[in-house]
Amino acid sequence: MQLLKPIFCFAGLAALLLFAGCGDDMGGAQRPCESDFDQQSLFTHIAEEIILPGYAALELSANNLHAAAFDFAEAPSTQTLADARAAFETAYLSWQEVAQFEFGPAEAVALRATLNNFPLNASALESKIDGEDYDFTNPNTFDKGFPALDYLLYGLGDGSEEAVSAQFADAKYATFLTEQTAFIADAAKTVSDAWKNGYRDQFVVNEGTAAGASLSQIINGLNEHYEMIKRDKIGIPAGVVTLGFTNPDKVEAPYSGLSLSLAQRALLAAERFYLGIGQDGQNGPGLDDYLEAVNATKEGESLNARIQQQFEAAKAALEAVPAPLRTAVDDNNDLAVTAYNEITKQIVNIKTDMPSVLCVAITYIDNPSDSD
Amino acid sequence: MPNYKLLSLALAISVLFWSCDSEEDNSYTIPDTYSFENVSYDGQVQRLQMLLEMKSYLGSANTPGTVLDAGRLKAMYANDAAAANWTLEYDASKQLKSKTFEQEQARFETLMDAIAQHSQSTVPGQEGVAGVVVSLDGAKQYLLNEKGVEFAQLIEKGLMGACFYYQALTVYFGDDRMNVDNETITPGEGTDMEHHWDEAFGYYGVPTNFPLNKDNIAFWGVYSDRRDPILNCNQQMMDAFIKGRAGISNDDLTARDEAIAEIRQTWETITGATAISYLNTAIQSFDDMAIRAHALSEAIAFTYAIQFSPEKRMSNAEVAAVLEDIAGSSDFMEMDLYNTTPERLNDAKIKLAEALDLMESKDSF
Repeated sequence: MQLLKPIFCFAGLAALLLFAGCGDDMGGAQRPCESDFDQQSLFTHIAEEIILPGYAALELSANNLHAAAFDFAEAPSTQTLADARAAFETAYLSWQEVAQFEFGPAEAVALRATLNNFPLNASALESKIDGEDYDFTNPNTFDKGFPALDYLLYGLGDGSEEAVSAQFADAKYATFLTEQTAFIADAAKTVSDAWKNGYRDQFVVNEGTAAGASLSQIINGLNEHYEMIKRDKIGIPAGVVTLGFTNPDKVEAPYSGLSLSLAQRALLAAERFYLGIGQDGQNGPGLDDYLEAVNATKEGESLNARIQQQFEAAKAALEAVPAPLRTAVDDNNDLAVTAYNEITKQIVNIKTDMPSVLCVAITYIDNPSDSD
Repeated sequence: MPNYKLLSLALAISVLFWSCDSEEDNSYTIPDTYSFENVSYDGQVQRLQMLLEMKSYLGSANTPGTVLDAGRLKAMYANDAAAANWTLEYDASKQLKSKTFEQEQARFETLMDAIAQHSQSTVPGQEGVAGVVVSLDGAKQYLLNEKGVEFAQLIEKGLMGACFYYQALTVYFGDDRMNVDNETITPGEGTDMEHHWDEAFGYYGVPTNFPLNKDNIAFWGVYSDRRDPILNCNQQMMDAFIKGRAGISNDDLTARDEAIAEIRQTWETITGATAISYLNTAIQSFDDMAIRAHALSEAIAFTYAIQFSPEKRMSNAEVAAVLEDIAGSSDFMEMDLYNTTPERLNDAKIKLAEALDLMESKDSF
């Protein structure tokens, strides 16, 4: 033992010094990896008050959407179309609440890619409809999910209620529509059931900081989707990755004009997820409490406070963009770019500082198009 | 018994210093010319050559009665060898179109369709009528559209911007091409990072011992050389390209990144100064429509190019404002050079000069 001691001593010191890092301002957080923060109460709250109710809401709204789509397909009219559109809007907004939980059951069925790959390739969709050959499960195609419904319910012909209804006299459109809405309802049920029947229990006890532990899952899930809000919903349409050349057609829901509401809901959902605010509006344990528990600071300030301030700034900047986003990216480009910048400023907080202080690694791969 | 605690502390501190020390060894030789091992940019040379062939074909339409084939132009653009009727041979994988800024590719095909249409004119050009317009001294003649725009310039110089300039400054100098392997050497091409740097250099269109040697300079190399008496840009460009390549080969990425910033700025200055020089020509020869139209079509295309660098000193909206001064619109298809004024051209010139720090030299180009 006598001989081994110095080696341990050296290793310990070196590790300590390396953790102290190269001038990183992570003061205040003493040995956060060994914090006595109650992870299980955090996971229980997130599962029961945010994720399970989120999927329940998606399931319900997807069922309503399917019923409304079925009625519309059976008897296309401006009234049945209006009902289908209203149900679509509700379901699409519900989706924004849960899009950030792409781990476990959702990841197993590639829920985000099957339900919401955008921008839509409308001509690919048209040829699928025409060929009556569709596969809703392929995560790599851009011809299905909510973006397809956005097109079918708002974009056919000149987009007027009459033109859209008229197109549904063609049975091929009616069939595709109801098969698609049935798929969404089924997928929502599959994931919701998986959480209820087993995954919730697994999730709640999956403690620690390793890759695959629940803390890693939620931090990675939050960040990965947050970056999609930044890049796909706002940045790409506003031209920030294409030298300022805008891409109005690449917004999330170009035909219905819901893009901005969807982005706002997604941003709000990210904030509520972080804060641990349940579907009932109650603020329970969240990542904010975890950061406070380990006294995380940045530049002498509470990291949690900075994150909360930045969520406020990002929401306000997005609020300032006039709808629809599709025209705003050209007519009010500066406002869209400002919103992008405010959303982006949060990333260093939640993707670099928070994982670092909570000893979690970011494990997902960045979308390479970011710097293309 | 040695004091292990002290020893281990000393070791730990040295580890710390080692891990935080970002100073690089700068004691490497930077050559006078772009002479490094494993330099290859054959793809760029081929694309420059393709544009030379396209330019020559476009120029044939300045002779009245010569009709351009839009299909052939588009085949040249996409390197469809069967329909391009090339003089030289090119690798099937090399094309101008796929390397053009994606959102602008269709625009160039639209311009090609349009110039083919203009070339069918059998009468001289004038306001409202496409056709060849001759300079007052009879020495120059250009095919203009019905609004006095020379589409051959928009295509050729436009591609210098949306393809060559874009590829060098945005694509090859971008994170995706610069944050790559710099260890594994492929014979003839160097590391991935070295190769990407060389490919960016290839789009400058000069020999490796430029400006001493000016043989076969093409496109940007030509314009760099024309601006050199005032800007001293030839040596600045070469110095920066050489500095960056030497830095990469010696793992000095700080030098590489400095060189990227220097090249982006100098190349943009060359672009803006060239636009200004054409505006000066047009202002001086305002009443000679062929000269005015030709010079302004050049000025338009060089101004348009400014958009394709990530560190541009003008926003796209500011570029559009300059184009609107020159031609009443930033949309190529709506531009009108018959009805511009010297005052508007001067406004455009001042906007460019202010943005690019050329106010003192703007009347000299």
